[in-house]
Amino acid sequence: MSEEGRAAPPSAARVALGVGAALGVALLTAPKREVYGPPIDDELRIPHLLRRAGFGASAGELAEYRALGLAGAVDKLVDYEAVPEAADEKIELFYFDPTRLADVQRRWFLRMLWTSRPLQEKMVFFWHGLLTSANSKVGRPALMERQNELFRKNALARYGDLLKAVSFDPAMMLWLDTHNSRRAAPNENYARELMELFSMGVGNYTETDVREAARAFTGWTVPPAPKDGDPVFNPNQADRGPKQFLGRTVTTPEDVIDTIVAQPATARFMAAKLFAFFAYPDPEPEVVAPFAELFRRTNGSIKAVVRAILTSDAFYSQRAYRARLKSPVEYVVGALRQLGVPSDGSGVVDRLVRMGQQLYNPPNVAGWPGGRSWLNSGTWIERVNFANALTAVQGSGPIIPFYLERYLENLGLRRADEVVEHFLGLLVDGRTSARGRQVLYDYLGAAPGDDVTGGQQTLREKLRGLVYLILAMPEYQLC
Amino acid sequence: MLNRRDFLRAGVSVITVGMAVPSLFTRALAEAETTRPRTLVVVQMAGGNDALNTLVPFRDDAYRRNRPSLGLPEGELIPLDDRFALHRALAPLQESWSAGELAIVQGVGYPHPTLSHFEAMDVWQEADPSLSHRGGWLARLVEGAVDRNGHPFAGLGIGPQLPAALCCPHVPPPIVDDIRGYQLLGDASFPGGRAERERALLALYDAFGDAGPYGDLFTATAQNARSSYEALQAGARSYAPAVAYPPTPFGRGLQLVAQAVVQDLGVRVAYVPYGGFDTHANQLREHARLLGGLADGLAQFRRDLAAHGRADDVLVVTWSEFGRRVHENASNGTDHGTAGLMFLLGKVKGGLHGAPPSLTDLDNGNLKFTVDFRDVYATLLEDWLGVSSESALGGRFAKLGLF
Repeated sequence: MSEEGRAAPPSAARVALGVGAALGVALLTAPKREVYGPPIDDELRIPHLLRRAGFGASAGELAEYRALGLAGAVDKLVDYEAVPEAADEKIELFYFDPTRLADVQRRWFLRMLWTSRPLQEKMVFFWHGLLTSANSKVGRPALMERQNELFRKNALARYGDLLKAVSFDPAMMLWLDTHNSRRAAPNENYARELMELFSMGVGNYTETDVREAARAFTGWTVPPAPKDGDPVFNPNQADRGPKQFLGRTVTTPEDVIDTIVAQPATARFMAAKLFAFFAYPDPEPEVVAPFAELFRRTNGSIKAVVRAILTSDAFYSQRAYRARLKSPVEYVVGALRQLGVPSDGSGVVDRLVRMGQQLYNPPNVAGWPGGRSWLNSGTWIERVNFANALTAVQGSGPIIPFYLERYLENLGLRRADEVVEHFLGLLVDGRTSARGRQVLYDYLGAAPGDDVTGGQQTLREKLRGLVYLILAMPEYQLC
Repeated sequence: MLNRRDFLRAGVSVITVGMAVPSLFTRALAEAETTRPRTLVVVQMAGGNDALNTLVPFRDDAYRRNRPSLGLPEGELIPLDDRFALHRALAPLQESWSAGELAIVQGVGYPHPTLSHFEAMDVWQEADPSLSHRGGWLARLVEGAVDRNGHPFAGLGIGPQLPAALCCPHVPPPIVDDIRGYQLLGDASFPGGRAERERALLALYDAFGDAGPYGDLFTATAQNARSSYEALQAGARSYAPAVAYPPTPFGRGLQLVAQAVVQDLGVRVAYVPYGGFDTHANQLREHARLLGGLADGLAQFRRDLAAHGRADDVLVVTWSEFGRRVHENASNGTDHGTAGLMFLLGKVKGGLHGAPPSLTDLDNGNLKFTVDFRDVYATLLEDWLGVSSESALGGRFAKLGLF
């Protein structure tokens, strides 16, 4: 465990198991239980954790993480450096043209699909949604991928270090116009979003702060392709004079970022963003406060804050369970991972676009608004049609290569109840209403004890329909 | 009065029993009616359109001084009068201008403007500079109001997302990104099982009910998808556009709106986003491309409606969250500003409306607005759609002589 990882009480995960608020974590468990309700059942914790800190788990992965216990599972996710990345060598086998958007999108998608470090990839996805850049303006997929690598490398870094790195990331510089921003007339775009969307939020700085910060980011350009995009500094265009920023006198971009990260507003902002991403939306200030305090105390350690969230009572509360609507990426990557589908990503990334989420092209600098906005009549139809593409047969096989009969055979599932309960258990923690369960049995048209695998054509088609229905049902849209 | 849950419960029970959903798209045109229902099409120019380079005060010295590299040469503009000219990329709209069917409202803004895209977008979409988050102004229209014939104002959103202006009535309006994919697909090898599978799917949504924070959303969305895709797909089979729309999401969106109007699906409020106006750098080329795409799409839309005899029933209004800074920046672009402009295309009083903002009497380098955007909204609601504007806008606003 790294130095900053230790900033969080190492025993916190065990506390979250319901042992009670040990003295060492009193700070982290200070928020009142009545705010977020009683804890969820023990057996729900690991699947809940793997949906939030990853993309959902297959039956095999679930067994692996369960064997580690909750504390061990959190450690494995957070201290991912100890886990070899399984996606690397599989991705090596494919050719990708880094100048083509579709190729770099697919390469990232496959990382999420194949990773053995789910939290690291989930953080990359988080950073892309927060510290956004979009290829629609950047226009250089290779630079988008370079930024993606930066997020991967700094997935759980200190926030100040990440902000400093991303401030000089060429895709970001093109996206928010620090490229070619000159002393004579500094471009304010990056300075404004740095404070509004990347750190403090509106109301914690003035227009003067925006103008002063913008001065510090002058003097840089991003060389055009085919150069690699390493930013070039031109001292003649840089404003190296003192700036009055948030009540301090600063000079460099690093000063600006250090000042920002030290603001209490930034600690609250980042703690709330991370908590909302992992636990539940619109958290109460008193629930966020201890995580903000931890951010401040650890000088902005994202690792410490994430570990603390993933081991907190609030994270394993009734309030947090099924409190988030899956994003299209979570829905699609999750389904493919959970069912062990040998997809190479082709024909899938476009579906994400139609569900409202195009990798490397968030709709604007604020990223995807998420939550309820994921679901409308059009995006719902796309989700349901994805479930159809996974399960329906067209020509010689499914549109996306999920082979249900082989899957059932491998797991030795034969009886109607074994099959229904397997998929309900894997995909929705076995938690649906009695009526919902009845709808599925009625649809299958078999008694619980019937053997449903050897049967006639209609029954085989019904089995595919069953998996379709579970992937499309409301419970599976939640995580 | 029904609350959200009652409403949804009623809707859902209808679904499960007979699938005869009370169509979200009521057929608005009853035989006895003398006036045709009117539709408002709201086009969002997202990102902050540079109004000064859209409607150009080409003889204003201050314009030339502030735009040394971005100032558009007089010879490249479409003059409207002796002070103002249109960007030449807007040439496709010239025909409408000459016919008196294009109104441009200048100096549109609101008090104490914010320079944040997101706050400004919310201000415009909620019609509320104090951002008390009462929901979208069009949602309030779709929710409660009825027209002179007692018909509700069904909404339709184009794009992948529900726009904040249409968020969030009891039954959210259908949101269609591309009509071609707007249908539930079946299992090709099992065509006979399709209806049964779809029935089970809706029954699962019914069984989930309104549990949890998203329950109401699930039931409403499933119900609304089911009813709207059938109506729109049936319409798509019988409607043929009379023009070639631009092969872009914007063009396809306008075509779908035209289809819904021509087919009398009862769509009274449609929302079409069009993006990318945040021109902080190298603005000239990008802005021309954006304005060209806008003008081309709207001109074709107008022609298509005219060919179907419906041009007078549809009004297009555009908005953008702000205009841009008067003085160009050092990246050959412009930063976030304040007052902007709105186009109204249709049976309006054509010409320029609103006082042009001064380019010398500025507020921190930004234009001072001369027309409150809510005055424009009030005019649209009262004089175009014929409903009271007070509930949708949360107050009374002055009307402009736009009709």
